[in-house]
Amino acid sequence: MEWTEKYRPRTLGDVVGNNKAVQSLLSWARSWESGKLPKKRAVILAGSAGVGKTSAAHALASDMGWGVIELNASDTRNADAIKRVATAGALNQTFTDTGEFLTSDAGGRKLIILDEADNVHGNIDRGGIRAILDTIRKTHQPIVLIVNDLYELTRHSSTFKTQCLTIKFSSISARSIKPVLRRISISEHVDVEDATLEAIAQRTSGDLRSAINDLQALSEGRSYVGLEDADAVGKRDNRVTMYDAIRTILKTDNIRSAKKAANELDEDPEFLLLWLSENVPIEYKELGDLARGMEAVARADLFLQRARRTQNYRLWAYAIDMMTGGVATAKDKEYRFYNRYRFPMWLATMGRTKGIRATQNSLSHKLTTHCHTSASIARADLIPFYRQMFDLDGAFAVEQTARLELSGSELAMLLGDDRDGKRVQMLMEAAEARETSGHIDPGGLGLAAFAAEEVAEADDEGAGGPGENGKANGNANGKANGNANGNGKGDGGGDGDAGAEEPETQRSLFEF
Amino acid sequence: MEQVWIEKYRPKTLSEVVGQKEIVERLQAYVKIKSMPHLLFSGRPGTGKTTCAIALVREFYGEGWQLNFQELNASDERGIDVVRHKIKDFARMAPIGSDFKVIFLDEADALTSEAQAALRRTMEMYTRTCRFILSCNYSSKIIEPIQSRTAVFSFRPLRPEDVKEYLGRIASAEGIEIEEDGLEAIVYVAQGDLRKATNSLQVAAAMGTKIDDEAIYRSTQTVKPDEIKDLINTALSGDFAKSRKSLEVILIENALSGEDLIRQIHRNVYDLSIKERDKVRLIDKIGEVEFRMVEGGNPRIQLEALLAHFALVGEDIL
Repeated sequence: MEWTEKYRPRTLGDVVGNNKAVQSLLSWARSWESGKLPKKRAVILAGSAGVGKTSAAHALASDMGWGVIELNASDTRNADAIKRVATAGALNQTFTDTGEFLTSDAGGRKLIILDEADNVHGNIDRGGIRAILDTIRKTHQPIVLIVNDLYELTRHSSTFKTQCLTIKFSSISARSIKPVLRRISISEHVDVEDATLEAIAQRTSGDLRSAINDLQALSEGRSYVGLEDADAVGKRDNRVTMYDAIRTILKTDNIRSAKKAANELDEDPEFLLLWLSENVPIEYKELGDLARGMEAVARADLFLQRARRTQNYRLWAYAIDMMTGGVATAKDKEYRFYNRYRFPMWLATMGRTKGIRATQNSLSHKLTTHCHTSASIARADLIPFYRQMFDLDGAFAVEQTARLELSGSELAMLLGDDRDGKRVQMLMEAAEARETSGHIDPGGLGLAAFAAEEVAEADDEGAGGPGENGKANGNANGKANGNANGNGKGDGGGDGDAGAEEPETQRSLFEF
Repeated sequence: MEQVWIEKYRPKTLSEVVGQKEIVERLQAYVKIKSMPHLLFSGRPGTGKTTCAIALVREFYGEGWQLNFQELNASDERGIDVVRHKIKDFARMAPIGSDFKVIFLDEADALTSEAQAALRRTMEMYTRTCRFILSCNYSSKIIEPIQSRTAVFSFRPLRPEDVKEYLGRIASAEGIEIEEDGLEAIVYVAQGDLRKATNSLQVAAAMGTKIDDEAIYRSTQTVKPDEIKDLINTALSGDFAKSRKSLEVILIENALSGEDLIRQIHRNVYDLSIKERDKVRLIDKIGEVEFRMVEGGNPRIQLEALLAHFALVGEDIL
């Protein structure tokens, strides 16, 4: 689930920042409860993306106990329906005739939210604007218009200014964003460096939504996020236009309009393609449209790769045609409803690997030499193999660390830990001790305490491995000794086979 | 278990090599006459190319074989530089206690054709003091002039019985027991790649539980066949969103490469309960997607297009 949805404020009190705006919104809403229709029946919430306009509108409805009808203003075909809903008397509100998009509870007051009322995509015709204005004049239900650019709306008609209350939402300061990120990371059980939160908050320049998206992209599937990880999610100066381009490409069925959207976007085509591959399935619900759309994305990908491989960048033209016109014309159906597009999650995953590429190279070089393989085999087979073995087998980890002279960052990569992490440090020390003493001594460096605890835990879960030996038991404390003996596995200690040579304490060292 | 088994149990002599019987016999003949031409070993990973090269060299030189042997990787360094410098430096020095020394060039098919042309000249220039063993996945990617100057050996993926024999050797040396279904599972995931087989056995052994099919599937990056089957069926049922989610899990969490996954999808098509003709339709599309990935296409984008296609045709097929 997207965190921006999961942590969307449920009440106005939870809306971050813009306190004054929230207050004005609330008092406008109260004016509806006085019994007669208020003078200003609609508000315009104006402000840049991700500052909480939509959240505030929804929270308002929930605080007031109103139902919500959310519509995309550019759906001119809905104008009639909107009007019907808006002007219906309080007593006869049934919406069966307007059907599918009505999410409101039956009865009661309904807050009508018109998103994208500034018509940035130019899809609203004159008639549409007139219909909206007419609706605002006659409505019996509160209306919220949401715009990024106030001027885009008011230039169509000055009536908007006179008929509506305008409330401006300003950017959220990094200082306000950071605590929100902190709170989310805690409830998601992800340990994020303070500096990383700071970095995300700073560079999302007042856009809380993209800050939360960035945090989620970085945290997906991990329990720790360090500062270097933050580089994976770049600055998004073009974020708004990227959303716009995606929307245009998915909504239009005209090749030129789709191409124009891509051309006006100052982005690498590969980046645009990733966005499209993320969002085509969100928009195209018919399977035929989806298959054709994804095929167009795949064809565009091929042209990009061919261009790169042959250094013939003229081929980009075809790649762009396929990802714009190809995707745009893939649909038979017109998708009129408003969709929330999202940042390609995969990109963050890819970005993360970029930062560690140097370590991967040095590590694969060491494995290549040791195991007589090529670098590609080292990456594909050996690194995953070593990762598993390092997790499973402490003795193996110590021996290989010493033998291959693995560095802190190489170990961090194998262990999936931080470079200064406890396990990395312990391994380095144990490997050094093995170098000087010629054998592995898990007890000499304070490892035994961890080892002992781990044996106890492993035993509690009934997950003990085979065997124990004298050395391990001698080093570990009494508790570990007792537990190790209590394992009672069939292939257990003392029968002199090779498996029994493994000190149990070593193995479980890495299971925390 | 402190060593890497693929090294610990790498055959030291040609007679210990499993499978590849004809190849071993020809190589042993070279040892007998104390002479060899340049060799080209082609075959999939894990079929014994490097092992045979090292074993051959050991038998040629005995103790101190390393002095006359240089291992290089064409995909490691940047293409032609390998040929220009490292190879020349080594080839130039006189062999020690022998007529010639041996250069093993792994992944020779990673060299561009210009680099291969330069390699060909080097091979000729030093042919009196130096023998080359070139290793590649596909001999077709090696330029004709090199192929015609080398004795070509095609390494076949190892047969299940060869894989089992080798694993049996390791198991008895390590004193571990492998369940029958565990053995079958290793054969399945390894697909004739002995390196993969050995690695998954070592990981499974390190897990300290019974070595059965469950342990093996957990030990390998390979996804369980069921997961692949679910992926295909979910897509065919028209639930693209869900199949895309599984794809992500498979690619990211299981760290399976796109090419590995597409091959597993291919393998699973035969067992689907759909019409035979429809299987062929799916395979045709799968082949197209694998080709695109080989061409450099982004695996995830190509696989998603495949799933979307499955979702569409699934309506008629199921």
